[in-house]
Amino acid sequence: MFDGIAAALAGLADPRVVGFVALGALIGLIAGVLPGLGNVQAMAVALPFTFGMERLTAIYFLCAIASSSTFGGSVPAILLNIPGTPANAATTIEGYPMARRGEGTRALAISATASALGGLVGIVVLIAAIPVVQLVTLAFGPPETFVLVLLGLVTIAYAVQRNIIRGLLTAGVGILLSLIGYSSVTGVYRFSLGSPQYLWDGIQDVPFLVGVFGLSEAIRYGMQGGVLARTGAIAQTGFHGTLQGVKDVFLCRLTFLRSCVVGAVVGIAPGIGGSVSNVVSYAMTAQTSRDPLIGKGSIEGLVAAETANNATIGGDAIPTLAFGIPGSAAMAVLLGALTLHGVAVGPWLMKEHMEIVWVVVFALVAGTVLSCLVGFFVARWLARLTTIPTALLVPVIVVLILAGSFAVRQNFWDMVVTVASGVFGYLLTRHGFSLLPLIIGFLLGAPAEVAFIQSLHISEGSPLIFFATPLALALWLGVLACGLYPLLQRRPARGTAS
Amino acid sequence: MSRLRDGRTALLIFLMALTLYVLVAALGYGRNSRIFPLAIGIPTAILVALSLSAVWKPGLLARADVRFGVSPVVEEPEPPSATESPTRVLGMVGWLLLPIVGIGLVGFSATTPLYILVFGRLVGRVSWKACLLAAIVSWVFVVGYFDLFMKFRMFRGLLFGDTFPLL
Repeated sequence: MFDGIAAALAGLADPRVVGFVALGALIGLIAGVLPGLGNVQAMAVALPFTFGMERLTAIYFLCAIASSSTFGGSVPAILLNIPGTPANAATTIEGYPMARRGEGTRALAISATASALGGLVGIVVLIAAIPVVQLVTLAFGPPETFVLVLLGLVTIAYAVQRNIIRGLLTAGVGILLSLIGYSSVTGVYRFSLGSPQYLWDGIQDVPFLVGVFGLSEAIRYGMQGGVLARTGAIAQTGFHGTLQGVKDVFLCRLTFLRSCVVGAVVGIAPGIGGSVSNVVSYAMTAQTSRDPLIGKGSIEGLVAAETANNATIGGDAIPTLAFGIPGSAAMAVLLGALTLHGVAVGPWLMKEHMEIVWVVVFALVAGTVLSCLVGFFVARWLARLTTIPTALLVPVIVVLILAGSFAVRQNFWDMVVTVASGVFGYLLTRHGFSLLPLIIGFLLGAPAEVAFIQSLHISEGSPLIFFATPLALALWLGVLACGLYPLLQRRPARGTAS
Repeated sequence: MSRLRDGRTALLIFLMALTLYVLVAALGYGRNSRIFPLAIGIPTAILVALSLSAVWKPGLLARADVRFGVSPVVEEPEPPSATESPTRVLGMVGWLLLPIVGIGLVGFSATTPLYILVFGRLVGRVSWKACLLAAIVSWVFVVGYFDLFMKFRMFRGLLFGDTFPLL
């Protein structure tokens, strides 16, 4: 463990790495401020640019982006009543009324403090989980790994909060797409779609990821037109009330602690991110608080919302690093980055690359603290970014994405794959499908097949091996519980639920 | 017949075609090569078929709706907004293909600024000043970072002697 910490810290001693962390925090902050964009899109666009960087530098850079956009999203939520990211939806309820009554700076200070401290608590949970998770991962053989992937996919299909059938369907399609190309397990070139050469290595992770996550969002922006957010005047801020805002968070100790727990627990569940913890934590506070200002600019409500969404980030990293099951869409992009840099993800990551785990920890800490510090002082200027015309943003994003997806292998057809993936991703979201199961299925398809075939080799073809150990059985129970729960829920009469 | 023209139905038919292609192709491979694609492809085909059936019987999948804290309810899919008509979607796809064609012909150096200028001016009627600024910054970034800093050889275009790799 200490070797891993030393290797990760050694990276931070390099000024170039520190520069990339700062740049990542700034990019994440800006992406968070821009409504519709967030850490996922920013990471997707930045991912190809990390090709050619050293592995640890790239992870520092991407994790800094991942951890900084949630606070960025609170800036327009407080000053403009527009959540910058879905994880700031509840922030608008209390933040904007505070800004309207002249307490914008205090609200931003509360947000910055709660975000930084909440983020740090989430990361402490991640650090505390590492030794426990290391022990658990030792129990994973090929059959358990395969069932774990199934559990991850079912959980994510459940967690994306739409329809579990559609979630599983897109996960299945993601896996099938990942099978295209030469199979290292069986030595056969499969599903070539008539391509004798290009698809030999399969659909590449980077063009697919940046297309599905980045380009699909650019298409949505292009369709939307106008400016990113139509808004009135930006609420006045100064530095009056800053200290009071910091103190407010410490005065709401219980709310803060409860929100940290909510955020971390939600984060650990694969596929659920800050958008859920932000709302759940706020709703819990709204139901229990005696503050008469709840819903009209309550400090307690703001602390609850902004603590939980940041505490989720550390929790998100736990299933990602421990089992290779992404805790959120941002972590799915991080998995893509790890693959790009030659790191095999799965239960073996903590055995073989402990330094990567610590790089993620340190980068999340650095990104969270940096973005909150810098973001607080430049919040008013950041809020102005929301007036950028989409017609200017879209071509810049498109060009950067195309350049990035070309650069990785310098293959022209990778750009075509990116555009096709972007259109596919856009059509899926337009028709009510979530992109996360697709990406997770795509990323986990190949390792799942390896585990599946290895298991059958061990058992000489008997599928009973997938049920042979208590751990595998426990994982199957999880699969069944997640898959069947929505179907067994009681249905209210039509029209009685909103 | 109108449901067959619905975007979601078309998308589901495409997904079904993709899944069936994998299933049929898998049958031609050896045991080890086909077992996993079949294990994933068959359930996926069933799920696509279920989703397709829901086009004609909308309440069919309602039990599988997931919401935290709220029980599932029968819900019709939201109609795409007016700004997202198929024509506009096709138009936007055209705008995405344009830089690919441009890069294919004249490479990144020329396409990057031209595309930003043309898109900004024609689609959003953004001021010349803002378009030029965005075009120059993006050009410096693409050429500066990839070509000069990372020493990648970005595509120069067919007209400047580059060729497409084999498909």
